[in-house]
Amino acid sequence: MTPTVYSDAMRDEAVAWFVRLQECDDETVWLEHQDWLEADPAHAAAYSAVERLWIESDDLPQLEAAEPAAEVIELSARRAARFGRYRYWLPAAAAAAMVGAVSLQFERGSGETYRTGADATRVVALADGSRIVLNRNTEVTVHLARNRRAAELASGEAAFDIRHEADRPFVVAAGGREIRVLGTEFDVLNDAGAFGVTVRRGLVAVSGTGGTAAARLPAGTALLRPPGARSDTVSRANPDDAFAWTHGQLVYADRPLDAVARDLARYGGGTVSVDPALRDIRVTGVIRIGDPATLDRQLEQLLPIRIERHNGQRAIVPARH
Amino acid sequence: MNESNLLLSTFMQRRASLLRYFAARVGEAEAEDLVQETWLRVASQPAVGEVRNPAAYLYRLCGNVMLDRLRQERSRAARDAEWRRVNRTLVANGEEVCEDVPADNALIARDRLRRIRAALDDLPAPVRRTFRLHKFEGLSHSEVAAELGVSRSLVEKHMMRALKHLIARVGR
Repeated sequence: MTPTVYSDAMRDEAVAWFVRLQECDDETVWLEHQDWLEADPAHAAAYSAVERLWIESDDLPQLEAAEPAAEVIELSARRAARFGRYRYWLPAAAAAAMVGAVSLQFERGSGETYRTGADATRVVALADGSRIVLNRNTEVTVHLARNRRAAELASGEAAFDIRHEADRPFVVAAGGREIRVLGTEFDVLNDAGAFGVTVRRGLVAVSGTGGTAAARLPAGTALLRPPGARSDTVSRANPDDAFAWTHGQLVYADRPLDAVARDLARYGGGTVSVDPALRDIRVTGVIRIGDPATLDRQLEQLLPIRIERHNGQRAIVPARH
Repeated sequence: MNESNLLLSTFMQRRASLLRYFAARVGEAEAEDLVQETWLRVASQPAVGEVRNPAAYLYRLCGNVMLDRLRQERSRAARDAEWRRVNRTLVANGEEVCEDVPADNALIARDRLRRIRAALDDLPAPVRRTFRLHKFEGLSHSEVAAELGVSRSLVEKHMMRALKHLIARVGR
């Protein structure tokens, strides 16, 4: 639209409408809004300006992830004030130090440990209203203290739906790293050297390791570190794929076969190797979680591969022609 | 009648009103497209939970369609800029063909973002906190209200104050 001049008063009106309408369940209010829009073409221009600013601000968490330095200085003061919560996100060094603190807490033997075997997932409802879904072969220890909530994912994978509490952040320790959250929903994988965090809702901070910096993940992003890799990959991700196991499915969108093999090992036990000739295969598809034979059969139907079994070890090899 | 049928029939009844809403926002030429987009969203939606007021729900959907249209415009502009940046090297005689230097767009966006952040820092802590909880952590107005132990109308007041200030500081 052509830019239209609008007054400061119109701008303020537009803001008021925007906020009021965001969660408005009353049709008459929308009709009043329509009248306001039609009363002066400048109103629509002012309203669009509000929307534009709203959209521009979408990227603020990414900016703050990229340029956190200026804010760290104020950390202690901010913490004391209990406000400006985003300043809690720590740079790598400080976060690494806090991983130690978490471990220490667990060494004192407090907290409740939950485990799952190879045959079932488990939902754990915590006293604070949060929920943790444990994938198969997973161990999580939870500790709820007055000023802090912590969980340690010793191995496996878990989806966390954390109830927001301003005064009690929730910290997940996994793979020597720390994931700090407020109210949010995310999936953590810590299995056989692979580490991953996928965020469905809210904002999550993941501490760095050794040479890598801490990362802040807004909703719809995932951090992945395959086994043996030296750095993290942060990318846009469909969180529904990462959470699919909570509904008994594995969903792959253009994933390497190695990642699928790791899942097969995780769900079926034993080790699963991949023939070098198949290394470049990318997998897209849905697999229903079940016993190892069922998993193998589905994968064989999905891909030009065959799965051979020897003494509890499985090898993915090219299909015979 | 299930919820999505209810939404579809409400859409049919309100189609002209929704068209009028979009026409007031973007002009008549584009309004039809946006109504169509809204229809697709209603039709493709998996069974929604309880919808208190289907008509208001549709209007909110229209609001989201408008926001997503802006988002798409922004990412298209970013893609175009990237394309020009990459392709500029192909110009044989070494002269700059593009009038606007594309990298500037990204710089300007970045600069505006920094100004938004700075403007946010001007605000009193409760206002800033309300804005962040709602905007970045996806809490609804009532959830923010419960979280901070204040009324929902105070949450809306804080949101208005924050947005007014950001727009005044960063401009259009």
